[in-house]
Amino acid sequence: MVSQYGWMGKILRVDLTRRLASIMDTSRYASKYIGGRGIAARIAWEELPAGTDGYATENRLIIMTGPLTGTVAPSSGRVVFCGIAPQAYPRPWYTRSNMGGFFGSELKYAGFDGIIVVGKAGTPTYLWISDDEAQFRDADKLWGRDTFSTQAYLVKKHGDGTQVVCTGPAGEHLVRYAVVQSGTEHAAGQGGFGAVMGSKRLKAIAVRGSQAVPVARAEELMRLSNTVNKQLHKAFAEGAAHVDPALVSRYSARQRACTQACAMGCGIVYGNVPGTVNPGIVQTRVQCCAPLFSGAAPFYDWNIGVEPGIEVSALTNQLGLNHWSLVFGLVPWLRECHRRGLLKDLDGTPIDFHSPAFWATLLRKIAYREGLGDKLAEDGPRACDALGIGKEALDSLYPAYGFGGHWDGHGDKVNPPFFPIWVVSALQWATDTRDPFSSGHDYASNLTHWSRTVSWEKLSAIGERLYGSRKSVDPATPYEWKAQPAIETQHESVLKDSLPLCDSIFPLYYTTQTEDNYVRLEVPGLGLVEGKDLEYQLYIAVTGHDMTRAEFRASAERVFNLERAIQIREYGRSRADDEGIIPYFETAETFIGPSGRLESLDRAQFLRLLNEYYALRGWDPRTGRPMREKLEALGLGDVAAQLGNLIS
Amino acid sequence: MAAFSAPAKSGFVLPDVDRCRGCAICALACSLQHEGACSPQLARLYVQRSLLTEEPRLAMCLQCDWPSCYFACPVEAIIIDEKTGARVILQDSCTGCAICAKACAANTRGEIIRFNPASGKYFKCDLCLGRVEGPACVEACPWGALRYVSAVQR
Repeated sequence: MVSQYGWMGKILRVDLTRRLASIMDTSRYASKYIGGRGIAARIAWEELPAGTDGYATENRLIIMTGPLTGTVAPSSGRVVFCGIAPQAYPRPWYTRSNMGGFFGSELKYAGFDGIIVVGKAGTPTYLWISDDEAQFRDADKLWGRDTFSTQAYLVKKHGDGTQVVCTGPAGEHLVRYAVVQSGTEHAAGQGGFGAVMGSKRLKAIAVRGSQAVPVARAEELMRLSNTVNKQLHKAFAEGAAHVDPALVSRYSARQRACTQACAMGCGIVYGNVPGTVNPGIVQTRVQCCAPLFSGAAPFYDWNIGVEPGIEVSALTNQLGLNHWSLVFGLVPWLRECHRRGLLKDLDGTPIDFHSPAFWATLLRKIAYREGLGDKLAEDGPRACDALGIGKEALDSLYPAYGFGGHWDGHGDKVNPPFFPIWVVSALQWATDTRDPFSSGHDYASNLTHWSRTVSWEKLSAIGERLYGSRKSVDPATPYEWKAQPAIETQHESVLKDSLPLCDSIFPLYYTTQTEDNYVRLEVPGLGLVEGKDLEYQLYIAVTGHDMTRAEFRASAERVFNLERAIQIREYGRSRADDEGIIPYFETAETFIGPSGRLESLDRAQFLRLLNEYYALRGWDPRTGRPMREKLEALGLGDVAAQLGNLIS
Repeated sequence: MAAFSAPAKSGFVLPDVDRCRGCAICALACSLQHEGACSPQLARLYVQRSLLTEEPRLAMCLQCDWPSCYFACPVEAIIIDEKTGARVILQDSCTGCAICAKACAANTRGEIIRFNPASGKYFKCDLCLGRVEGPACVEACPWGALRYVSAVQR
């Protein structure tokens, strides 16, 4: 039946143009590219023709789970979406986006490790996948529906327990930041993969399965998971925001797991919130940046209140728009344009972010491309080009590639990392293809958080353990030893997107439970497991691979280099592109850190740091491209050969 | 077949749906324990979240004092575990006739005595038989939503 533990063994290939489905063997990729984002990168390298546009028939929507998806490994029920992203600027390019929820695990229970969607359907279509079978179904009754009603329809049709990913009106109208939505608040947001679905006239994928994910070392996985979950539970009980009892009784608010096998309850599900803009009852999950729609000081200069905030957040999800792009990019940019008198109104509607009704109008205009919404549907950078206004404000909000700021200490107000923590964020931004913080929060987020309660002395000691030197964390050495943590965080990011695991939980480094605040867990049968070894141990327990820690880490490096190779082959990526993020970081930071004053990036120091980064990666510091020997050493000899004289 | 007198009382796992967060860790731990693989459909307990409301629903065998399944089985494939009192379907003896599944009044949805299409047999909660740490689901639930009640306590 199944030859490899952790896998169902097959990837479904769906050609929408010809209405043909076929099967590909997962084992072709599994051992070398981990899973998820890693396997998707290899498929993209092999299949995506040069110069493909996000809306082209040839573009692929590559949906991949990992070996841990569907197992009891903590927070592993995730799934990654890859392909040419329409949101990328100035040109759509290959990148990734991931979501939690329960679609990924259900896909595996249905017998598939992933789906490659190619072609374009002639008429609106949805896929119905159940136990080793895929069917093309007409979606004429679904096209035009919002994401909640699309899912309700499909669950009613295919039965309880059916999991759905779909696109909303925003995706149908090719809004460049349309999301792939599942449930009320799980979404692959960045990149605009909802618009890729829209362009392919693929309204939804519904899946239901009854199969099992085989596990190599069942007992070991159980013990590891139980131990990690106990640790998470302690941390959660200590620190996380609990639901306000008033909200529980008034709006039936409940904390719920946001993905299969997650022991946290980060999201709050509201059962019945009265609608302010639209009469009726709002029922939705709220998590991550969704509460920001409510606004309120000190972070936001709008305040629409809790209930309308929940309603606007739900409306955004129903339309299938990306929360993050709105709250951290487009809306602050519109606010700045309005403040500077560059934009008076929205097709006659006064711009007023204090008004829930204005938000609803704005979102509707964008999702349906009405009036000015047609320009705003192109996202900030392209809207700025088309309207010819607000370039300065735009540059202060969008670091690069068409994505808004994210955990980098600059941009709009809710961006908490301070100097020198964001120096590492800057390195991550410089060498990525999107905002790196879908799975790269680790360094910036952990240190910002833990430095409130743990001394820099102790944090630096953990830094030495993780990155090789105290300087990696010590604020006294802001531009020293920062390439190492950046690379380490990028590799962690690859692992989290590939295994997959949740970025809010892993890597699990810091705790209040030990003397030195570093995580060490006593796992029955395995002994003391260090925080930085947990991903490896989970991978080994599920797959049973005979792989050393070093080989496991090298897989992450292989994937990162392969993604760079795609950038080089398709877009001529070079050092000059990487340096494009510098101006954003040269503006003053948002919050004051240990230095006691508002800092900004020192260009000369950063260029030196970039040299160090390239050298450590085995990349040519002049071009920012991997050296041939490096790719060969990583087992990417065929990739090096194809790149020919693009690399040295 | 034994006379129709009540068998020894059993312990059971008591679910508290108010504490449940819908993570399905219990079901995955259960199938891992029994099948060496992770699958909610092969779990001896049932957990289901509604996709949009996210309300979880839990169902599991309460190991009745008067177990209709036990009495109904025509081939005596259901036995009483000596240690816990659990009503256990012996997989080797089960013929897949479904009589136990129909006899159970709580099993109208087929979520308590479940069918494994691969083996053609029925299965249900066996309280993990001799597992030293007790039932795997109780140990794994991070929220204390599952509690083991012993035969003496019930």
